[in-house]
Amino acid sequence: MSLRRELKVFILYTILIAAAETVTSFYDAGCGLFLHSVLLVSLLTLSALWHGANPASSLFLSLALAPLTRILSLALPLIYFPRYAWYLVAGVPVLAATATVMRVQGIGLRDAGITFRKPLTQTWTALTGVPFGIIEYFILKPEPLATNLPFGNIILLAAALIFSTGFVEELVFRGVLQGSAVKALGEKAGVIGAAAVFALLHIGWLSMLDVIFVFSIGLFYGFITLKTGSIIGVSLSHGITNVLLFLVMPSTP
Amino acid sequence: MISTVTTTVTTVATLAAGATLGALATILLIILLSTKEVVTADTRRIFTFFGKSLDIAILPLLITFTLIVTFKIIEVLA
Repeated sequence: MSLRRELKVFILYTILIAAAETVTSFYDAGCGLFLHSVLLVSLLTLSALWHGANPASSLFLSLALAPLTRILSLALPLIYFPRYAWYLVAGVPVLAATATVMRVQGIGLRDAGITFRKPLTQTWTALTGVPFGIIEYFILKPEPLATNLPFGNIILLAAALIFSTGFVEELVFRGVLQGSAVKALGEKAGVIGAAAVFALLHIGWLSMLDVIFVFSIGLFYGFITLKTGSIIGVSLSHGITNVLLFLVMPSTP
Repeated sequence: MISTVTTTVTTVATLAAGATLGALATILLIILLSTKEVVTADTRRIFTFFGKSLDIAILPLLITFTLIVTFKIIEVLA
């Protein structure tokens, strides 16, 4: 099977994920969950059919994390939890799924970028979360996650955001998905593909500008991960972006 | 109507809608568990790998199912 055909299949699945996200956000969450379930089973089946014969098998197994993330986020009974606990509750099953993908594919912690390399680059990458968070706030203007919380609880909430939205999401999209995509499709297509899937899962915000902004950030994070071999800096940047977006900026007069 | 908070967090507006989505996810879990039971009966490499791949979805869905059942029990007892 040629590289061209693998890329075509990847683009087809990316379009289908976009369609499922659009249905979920604009039409009906139940229909969206059904479509994501079909995509999930289809990706797992395709990966098994190509197993041992095509390196793209790993890519489609990793790509299954995208529809699975949405299925879990829709099905989790988050309404029973206080809002500040949502991120940890949602992060645990996604982390379990990602750890299983890594185990099935034999991806080690270092391979997934869980290693501290080039500390200077990691530090300035982490700091990019500040401008990213401020810009995204002016795009989305979200409600504050929590109001009138004691200072200690705000720190805990910020730590939960950095872990579950920063580390877990970067492990999924840059550590596992981009890693497999680069191996199967090459560096350029791999980075663009992972950033596209990452951006498409933001359709739910109903803002095209935000999808484009997130795609740009995804490309930047992908490039940094590719060059440093580590997701530490991008995880911190992603986490800081969300802390500013949901905690700091909405509470600033 | 759903509202997305981050990539991993999406909430639905009503309890009824949440229950429907929880039920759909439970049906998916049952289908995946049944499929795993069938494919692991075959020892060929492709089926062994498919059986392992299914764990990717089964494990997090089991966590979700446990949470749904736990909160339903608490709700009934309360």
